[in-house]
Amino acid sequence: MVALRIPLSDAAALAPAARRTTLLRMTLALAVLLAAIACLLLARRLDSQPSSYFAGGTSGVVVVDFSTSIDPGKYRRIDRVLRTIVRTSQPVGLVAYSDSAYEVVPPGTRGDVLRPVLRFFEPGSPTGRQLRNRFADSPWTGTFRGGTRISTGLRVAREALGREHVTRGSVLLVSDLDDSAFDTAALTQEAVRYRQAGIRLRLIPLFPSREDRELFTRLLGPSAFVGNRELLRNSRLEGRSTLVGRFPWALVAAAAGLLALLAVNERALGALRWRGAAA
Amino acid sequence: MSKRGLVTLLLLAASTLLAVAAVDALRWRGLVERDDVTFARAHGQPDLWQRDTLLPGDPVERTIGVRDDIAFRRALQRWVLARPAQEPRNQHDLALRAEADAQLAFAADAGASAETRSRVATLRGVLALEEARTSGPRGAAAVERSLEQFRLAIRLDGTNSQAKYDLELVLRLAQSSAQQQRARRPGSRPNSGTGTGAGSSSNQSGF
Repeated sequence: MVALRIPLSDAAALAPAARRTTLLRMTLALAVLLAAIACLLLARRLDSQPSSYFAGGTSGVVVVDFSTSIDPGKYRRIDRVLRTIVRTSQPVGLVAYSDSAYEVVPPGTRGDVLRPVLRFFEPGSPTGRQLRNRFADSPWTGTFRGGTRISTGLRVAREALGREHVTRGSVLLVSDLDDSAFDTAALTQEAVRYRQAGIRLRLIPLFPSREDRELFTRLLGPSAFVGNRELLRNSRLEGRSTLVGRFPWALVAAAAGLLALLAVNERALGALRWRGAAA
Repeated sequence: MSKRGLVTLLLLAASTLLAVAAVDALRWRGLVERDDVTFARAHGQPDLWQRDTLLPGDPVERTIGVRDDIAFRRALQRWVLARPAQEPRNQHDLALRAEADAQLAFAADAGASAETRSRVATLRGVLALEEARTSGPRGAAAVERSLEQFRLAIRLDGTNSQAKYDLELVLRLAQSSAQQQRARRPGSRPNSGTGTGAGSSSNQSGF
């Protein structure tokens, strides 16, 4: 574009208007720049993913507590978590633990493979022979179930992620957190190893006591706990809509602000046009 | 907008950012020393070594390189509050110890100097040793952990005499315990061990 220079004898009289225009331009440019940066930062923080239990784009491991302290009253919550994973078919591993732990399925397995496990956490039985609110005997009943050593479950999950070379892995612990007092030191070491390995550990508490919750809050921080709202939001996921994410209100507001600023810029600082003669 | 106007704008934004960062940096002035004194006087004082910041994410803390020092101080406070020399009375005491141990480990990972990491390892070794002392027959793993930490402390800082003393002590205790166990066995000869001090145990290399 070639700037048109018109020689004016009274150009000095336009100096205040030119200064005002420059100031307005700079202010608007700064505001547009800030709004664009805000949009960029907010857009980077969007993380829609198959359920919010695991970090997006990676496999996770669910570690389920099968100790005798887990009574049928807590099955509903385990069922809810596993059902979400089955519906969304996200890649997942499953570890069962009590005094010891073992890997039921390795990380990276499709979530719907866990469907047969769900029946052990549902009241009633498919055959209808058992009364409602009774639960089918699981393979873990009577043999595997015993005390609680959470560190064993976490260790097996960590080793499984390492073996499968999963980077930025996540582990979801579903437990009443009633850990053996003899396991506290091992659990602490495991929490340290998780942090050193960069593994995100989240907890779905099955109605723990205040003391048990305190231990995990001190070790992992309150943000490690999956709250009721998040649990409900995840459990509403259907097979057809397998992504979860909050509506990005902040991004929408920032983008609207950016558009408004651009509109003001065009309106106030657009190129001069000759107005046509009034009809 | 002209080129000159754009440069002016960028410089204005940069100077504003630097001014805000300078305000954040000024809030560090004397804070660590002041809170160190407060900590020495009252260990349980909450919110020590903390301040409000204007910039989100506190980039100033990273820039001036105090993050590891602050992490160590906070972990040390947790360690003192966990009262490692006393037997844990309940679940709350165990939780405090677990938190202290974890915070110390995180502080060591926060880019601390070798000297600080050596101090961290010594403190973790003491925690493990106290755990072994109160765990009875289950304490073997804790003894191993304390030995491991004291050795690490000495490797990191050869001048850490506290860690050397503690390692010597643990090795002597372990040796004495092993001799007692051998003596209790039927048909065993008393004082059959050959070691005489730190590092002489059959399976320990000492420092």
